[in-house]
Parts: sequence; C-alpha cells; structure tokens
Amino acid sequence: MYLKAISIQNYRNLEPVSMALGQGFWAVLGENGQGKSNLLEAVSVLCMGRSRKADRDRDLVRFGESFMRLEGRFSREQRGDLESVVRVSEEGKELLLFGSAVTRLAKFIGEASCVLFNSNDVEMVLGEPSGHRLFLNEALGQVNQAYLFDLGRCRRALEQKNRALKDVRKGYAPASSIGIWDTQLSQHGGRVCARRDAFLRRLGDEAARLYTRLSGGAEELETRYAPSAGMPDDPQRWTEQIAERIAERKQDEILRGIALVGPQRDDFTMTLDGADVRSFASRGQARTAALALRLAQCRIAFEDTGEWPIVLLDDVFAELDVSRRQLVAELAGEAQQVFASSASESDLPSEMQPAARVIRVCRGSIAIEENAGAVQA
Amino acid sequence: MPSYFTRPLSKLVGELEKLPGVGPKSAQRLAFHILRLTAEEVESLSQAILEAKEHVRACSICYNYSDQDTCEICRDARRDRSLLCVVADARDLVAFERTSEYKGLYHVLQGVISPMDGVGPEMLRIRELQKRIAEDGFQEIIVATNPTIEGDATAMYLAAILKPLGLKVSRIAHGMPVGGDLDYADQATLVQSLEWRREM
Repeated sequence: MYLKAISIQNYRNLEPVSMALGQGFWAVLGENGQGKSNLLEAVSVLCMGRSRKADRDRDLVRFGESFMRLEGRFSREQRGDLESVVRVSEEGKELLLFGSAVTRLAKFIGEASCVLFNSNDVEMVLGEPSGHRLFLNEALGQVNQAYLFDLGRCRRALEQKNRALKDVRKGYAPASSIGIWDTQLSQHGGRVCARRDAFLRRLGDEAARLYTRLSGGAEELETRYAPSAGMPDDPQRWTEQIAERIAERKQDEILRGIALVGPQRDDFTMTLDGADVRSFASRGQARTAALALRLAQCRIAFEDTGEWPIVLLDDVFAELDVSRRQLVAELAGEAQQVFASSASESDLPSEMQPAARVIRVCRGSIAIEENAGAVQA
Repeated sequence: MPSYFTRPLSKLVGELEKLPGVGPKSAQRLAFHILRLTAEEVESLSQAILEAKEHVRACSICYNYSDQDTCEICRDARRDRSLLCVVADARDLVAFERTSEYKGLYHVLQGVISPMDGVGPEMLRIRELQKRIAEDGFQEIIVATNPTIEGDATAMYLAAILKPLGLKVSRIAHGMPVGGDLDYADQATLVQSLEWRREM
C-alpha cells in the first residue's frame, strides 16, 4: 500500500500543501521543530483516524484556525484504491471514505494502514501497562475490525459495570444488579482476550526473530501476554476464565466501586534472557526491543492483509549505529512506501539515500525537492 | 439542590432531572435553555406536555401508547394470545407492526437497564410483565431488545427471571441483514453471523 497523493490543510504547524507521492523511500528532511514529525503524524491520522499523541482531536487544528482537513489517495494492491478524509472542526471530527461519512472509527481504521515508529516507542516498551494496551489495540485493531468492535462493546460494558458497582457501594442498588454486567464484560472481554492472546503469540515470535537480527544475537526477547484474569488452561475458555476471576473478587470490586478484572487491566511483558525489560533493560536494549515490536507489527499486518503498511520512521535513525540503520532500512524497505524523517541527511542509511526522494520541511512549509535522485512513481 | 440556584430554577432542574436519561448536568442545560425561550414558546411547550399527558396514556396491559385504557393491539381478538414479544420502546413495537408479520401480543418495557442513565430493572415494566405472564398463559416470550450492551444485558436479566417459570424464552436473531451482500458487510457483523449460525 502507498500514498499516491496527500492534501493537508491547517494541520498543526503545517502550511497548506497538496502533493503527489509515489512508491519507494522518501526522506523527510529539515531542522528540528520545523514540522517533520507533524507531516508523518498527518499520514498516520489519515490511516488511524486519530493521533497517537494528541489527547483531543482539537489539538490537531492549526493554532487560530477553526478546522483542519487531511485528504489522502491510497493505492492498495488487495482492495483497490482508496480515498479518505479526516476533518476536525468545532463541530467535531468527520471521517470520510470515498466521500461518504463513516460514523464509527472502527470502520475507518484498517482501510489504509501505516506503522509509525518514533522515539516514544522506547517509553512505551519501558512504561505503564496502559501504553502496552494502546500499542496492542492499535496493532491488532488495524488488522482486525471485529477486534475493535468487541473492544468497543467491552468498554461500554465496563462503564455500565463500574456505575453499577458504585450504585451498589452507595446502597442504591442490590449486589445482584451487577451480574448482568459481569456477564457482558466477560463475554465481550473473552473475545478481546482471545484475540490479544493469539496476536501476541504471533507478534512475540516475530519480534523475537527480529530482535535477534537487530542485536546480532545478543539476547533472546520474549513477549508474553499478561491478562488481568490470568491465562485459561483452555484457549476456548476465556469468557469463563474472566467470569471466574470476577466472581472471586466480587467483594473487593464492590468495596472499591470499580472493576478489577478484565481486558482494561491487561498487560504484556517483555523479557531479555528472562529478565524483565521494564526493570533491567538498558536504553539501547529497550530501543532495539521497540524497533523489533514495530517491525513485527508491519510483518503481521502484511501476513493478515496481504500488503505492507506504509512505514513512517520518525527520527529513528539518529539513535542507531550504522549497521542497525542499514538493517532497519532493509527490513522496512519491504514496504511499498517508507517515509523517514531526520534532521541530518547523513543519518539516513546509505542504501536509502540514492533511492530516496527528498521532502524538505521548513517552518511548516513542505516541498518536494525536484533535483533529488528520482525513482519511478 | 445546591443553593446557588434560585428556588424556581432549582425546582425546574429538579423536575427535569426526574426524566429518564437526564442527569444533573443535562437537567441544568435544559433548564437554562427553557429560560432563554420566549414566553410563547414556553407556553406552547407546557401546553404540549399537558395535552399529551391528558390524551395519550400507556395501555394498561402492554404499556404501548394509546388514547384509551387498552391499546388496539391488546383489544384485537385476532391476535395470537400465546405469543408475547417484549420490546424496550413503543417505537420498536411500531417497527414490528410495520412488517404485518407478527401476530402475537407485545409488552413494552419502557426502556432498558442502564446504570449510567440511572435506570434499574425496577424502573421498567418488568413486574407488570411477570404479572401478565403469571395470569395470561403465554407459550413463548420473544425478547426483542436491541443487540446493544444494554439491550443484551436487559435480555439476560429477563431470561433469568422468566426461564424458571418453565416457558419458552427466545431472543431475536442478529447477524447478516436480509438481502445483504457478504462482500459489503463489516467484519463485526460477519463474525456475529458466524457465531449465531444455525444448523440447516
């Protein structure tokens, strides 16, 4: 999959621009703080319908403007071309596919796909379970629409359950009123967990293989699902597993007025030769693990959808040594289209440089450099 | 009610807050909106409420809207009195009636269980449903709440109290829309239709 053309209006600090793009490597160059990351983020918003970074959609609108609009034309091998629009204004967010409004984010995500690598990935690897869940929801949701649907139902059931628990705690409702929400949460949660489990097994295997290559075989990376309900003995019995754990903690849940078991409390752990990455890994090891995870995400998206997502490497190379730069360029280079941002052209791997066309970003204005070594579109 | 509302305003907020699905915040918003209306608009709103209240009532049997004590459906002798379809809302009843296929009776719950909206089972017409079932000898109860989290939870609640009575309790099917194209169905619908598949 690749982006054939993009049009950007009032997005963060970026000047309005419409440009035709094509397959291959694109070097996005410019000093720090000029808008390189915003350009890559704009591409990811066109695919995911929202930004990983911005808490509110409003934050994507350029300061002083009333709306922002992104439009992309994608070439897809499997499902034909795609036109998508993301528009954020005071009335809210609008998502359009081929000009028709899509009311649910779950139906928008996955139509076009990309994987955004950036320096926050290291924090994700080392950080809180909530960051791990976010990664998981993004990576899995992109290839599995039904997962997002189940996740949405799960969240709704959780909200209702938490309210019911508070009502019971305050004595407004009998304890028996929680049961129907427990059932909803374990039914939809069971499907969410089953998918997470299966996905993390594949992702973990792929990430382990990639970590070995990236680290030169130094250590072995293991990624393991850590569901809050624990692993069931039988993978068919996720719903029962969650229901049983909920039943065990019933009193505790009522006392605290909040659900303590379910996909909302899941995590996954990563270990290097058995040592927890969060506690023991060096920054370099965590960075390699993050790269391995993102590359594994690309590979699985390819296996599941039949095409490579667009790869967005936001200032990834500066922190890597030469051999790793080349390896990342080689692995990511399987994608039809790669955007790699950097403050310095010399940080880009040598094998990317001759093939790459250059997008220059300066104080928010974006221009394709005509004289750069061109590749066929 | 906090003291920073003047008394008439706090009374209005209090009244609005009693409505289903209206929390304190919404009640405030509605009250402030009403205060901004012209005197004629408020008059017309209160007249409409009074008139509707005077002329439209809930059927004393099924809780469908009616301008008489019992609704047309409950009075209709040609209806199949062994079959009862339980819906959340009178609008759902209308949807079924439009098909002119269903010949049984209805029971309108007047909502679904939703703690977030402050709606518990005791606020729905469930006791009345139990009473009807005990007296009227239905053979099958069809639970036709929407396949949303709240609709499903309400269906589950009903099944738990109705099944012990020894009658058939069924749930409406969900999955592929009729005349739908598999190619165009979203993944969630397809997964559901696989899950709810039936033997031929």
